[in-house]
Amino acid sequence: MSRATELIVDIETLPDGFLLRPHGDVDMARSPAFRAKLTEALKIVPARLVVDLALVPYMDSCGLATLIEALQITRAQKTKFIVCNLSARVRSVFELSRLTTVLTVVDNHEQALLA
Amino acid sequence: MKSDLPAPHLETCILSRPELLAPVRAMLEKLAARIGFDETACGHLALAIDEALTNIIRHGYNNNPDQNIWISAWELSDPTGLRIQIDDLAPQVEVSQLKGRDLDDIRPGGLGVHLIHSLMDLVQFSKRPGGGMRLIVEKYHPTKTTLSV
Repeated sequence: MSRATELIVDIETLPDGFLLRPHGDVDMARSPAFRAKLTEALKIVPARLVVDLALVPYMDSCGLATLIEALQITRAQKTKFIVCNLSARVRSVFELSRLTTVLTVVDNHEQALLA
Repeated sequence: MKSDLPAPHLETCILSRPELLAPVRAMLEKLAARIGFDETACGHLALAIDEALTNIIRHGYNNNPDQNIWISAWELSDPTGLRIQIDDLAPQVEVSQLKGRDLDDIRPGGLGVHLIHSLMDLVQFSKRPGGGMRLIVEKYHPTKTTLSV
């Protein structure tokens, strides 16, 4: 996989699940890597999955589609799915797509652990 | 790709590869900033073009990485702004089919065309006379500036 398509994702273990923190733009080139990490974390059926987007300056509809896929899995397996730390730019894409109406979006890491 | 307009301020051809989206976004954001768009507008413009290119790569060229996509950009003076034209040689489709999904129908995919319409002031899909599809988008800004690149 070339550097243009790889995506570094930190995975932190929580008392009841996982926190994933991707690094960099999530677009068509990198959303497959993002999807693979989310799928891997969800296979264990955690009680909670947090996606911290603090280090994602840019996300397009491919990234959004990946989150919607994860949302569908979490709903089916009763995993709490929370997204936090959106930059202004990423938040505007969420709002344009009305994702804020279906995803649990909170301001920061601490709120995500309590949501 | 020739057009009836004067020579574009920027013209490039890329291969239909997802890894080229980031450099194209960066290039167009820089151009938009130089002609006076604020950071938010530059970001919107880059996202709209990213979505258009993604649709061409995925749906037009069916993820074939070795096809051509032509991108041309013009500074506009009346109204002031930026026009971007994207040409491909993908199989032609009816323009009426190129519409975004209902946003209340939450599912993966189908957001790209909706975002393009939301982010740009003018969106015009057409069939190219020589084959393939053409997308022209325009974004306007209220402050008149001149291109200084």
